[in-house]
Amino acid sequence: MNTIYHFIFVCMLSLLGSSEVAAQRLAVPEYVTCDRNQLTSWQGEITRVNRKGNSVDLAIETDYGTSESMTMAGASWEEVIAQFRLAGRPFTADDWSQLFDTEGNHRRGLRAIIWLCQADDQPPIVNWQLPGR
Amino acid sequence: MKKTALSVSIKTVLSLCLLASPGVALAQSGAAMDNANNNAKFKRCGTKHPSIQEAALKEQHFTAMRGKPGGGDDGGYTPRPAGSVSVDVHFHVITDSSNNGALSSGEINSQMAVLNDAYAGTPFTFNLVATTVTANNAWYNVGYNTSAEQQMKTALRQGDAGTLNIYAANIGDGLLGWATFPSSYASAPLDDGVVILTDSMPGGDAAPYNEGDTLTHEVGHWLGLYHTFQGGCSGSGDYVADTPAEKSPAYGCPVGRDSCTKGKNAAGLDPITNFMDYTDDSCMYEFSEGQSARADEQSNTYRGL
Repeated sequence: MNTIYHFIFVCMLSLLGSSEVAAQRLAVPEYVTCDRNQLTSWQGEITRVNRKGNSVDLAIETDYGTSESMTMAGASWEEVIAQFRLAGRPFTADDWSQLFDTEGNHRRGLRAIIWLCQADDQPPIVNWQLPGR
Repeated sequence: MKKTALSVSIKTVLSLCLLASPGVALAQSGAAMDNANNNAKFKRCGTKHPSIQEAALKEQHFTAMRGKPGGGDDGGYTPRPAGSVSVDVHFHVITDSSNNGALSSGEINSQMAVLNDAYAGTPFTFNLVATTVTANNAWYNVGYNTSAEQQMKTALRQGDAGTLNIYAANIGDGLLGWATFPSSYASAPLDDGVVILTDSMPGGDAAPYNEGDTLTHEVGHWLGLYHTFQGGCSGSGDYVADTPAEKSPAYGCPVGRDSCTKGKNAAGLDPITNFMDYTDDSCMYEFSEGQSARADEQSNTYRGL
C-alpha cells in the first residue's frame, strides 16, 4: 500500500512541478546597496505585471509560499526602470518588451528576485529573470 | 490484485503520468533551449502552483510514509543519539580549463570540519570518502536547473539515497548554493545532491558568505529542512514547531527582528541565528531541536540513513 501511495505521490509531484527552487541560498548582489540588516527579498514567479504610465504594479508568488504585491512609481519611466535589472545586468527601455509575449501578457514562467529595504531612501530593486533562456 | 476501484485509479494515474506530465515536457523543451543557447543559465523551475501546496503535499506523504507504531504526525518519534548516523560524502571539485576553482585537501577538510561542527548535537556526522576533480568550463559556471547541471551530476554522482554528493563550482545567477530534498530522490536520483559556490567555502572570496555555512545550509535542505521563512507568517511554516515564524528572509544579522506578530508560531523573535535563514555566515550558528528531529526522521524515511 505504501508503494502505491508513493507512486501516486511521485506522479502528482511531476504534474505540479518542482519545489527545488525552495532549496537555494541567495547572496546579496553588489548592486543592492541597502544595509543588509534592513534588507529582505521576494524570490519567485511573477503573477501580475502591469504598467500604468510611470508606475508598475506587480505581484509575485514566492518560492517559500507567500503571495506579495507592490507598485513602483517614479517621476519618469526612466526613473522606474532604473530600479530594474535583467539577469543581474542593468535594464534598458528595450528590455521591457521582453517581459511580455506577443499577446501582451507577461511571459509564462517569468521570475524575479525583488530586493526590499526598510530605509526610505532605498527603493526596491527588481531583478527580472526571463523563462527558458 | 483484486479488481477494485483502486486498480482503476492506478490506471488513471498511470495514464496521467505518461501522457500529461508537464514536468517531462518542460525538461525536454528546456534541454532543447539549452542546446540552442550556450549562455543558457537561468532558473527554470516550471512551478505551476504555489509551492505552499507542494510543501503540504510532501508533508502528507511524509506522514504516511514514515514508519512508526500508530502513525500520525506526532507519534512519539525518538530521535537517534547525537553522532549516531554517519553520512558518506563524495566531494566533487569542478574547475575550468585554467584550473580556476581548484581546492587543496586542506581547504576541503576545513569545509568538512565546519559542516561537522554545525551538525554536532544532531544525529549526523559526515564522512568524506572520496574527492574528484573535473575540469569542465560548462560545469564550472553551472547554472541551476540547466543541462550542464544535469550532465555534471549524471557523470559524477556516486552512491545511493543516503550518499551526500557535493559539487563545488563557480555557480551563477547570484546563488550561493542549492540542494535537493529527500523526498525528491525517488523521482530524480541522479539529480540528488548539493551544489555550492566554491568561494563560499572557508577562506573563499564570497564575503560575508565565506565561512562554509552555505554547505551547512544546503545540507539542511538535503536532510529535509525548509527555510525558516517558509510559509511566511501563516500556515505551517517550515513544519518545525520550535523555529518562530518569519515573514521573509533576513540578511546581515538584524538582532531583534520580529517580522511576524500574528499567526501560528509567531511568538518569538525571528530565528536569524538559524542555519536555515539567509543571514551572514557569522550570524548563523545553530539548528533547533525540532529541526534536528525533522532531519532525523526525513533522512530515515527517504534516505535509508
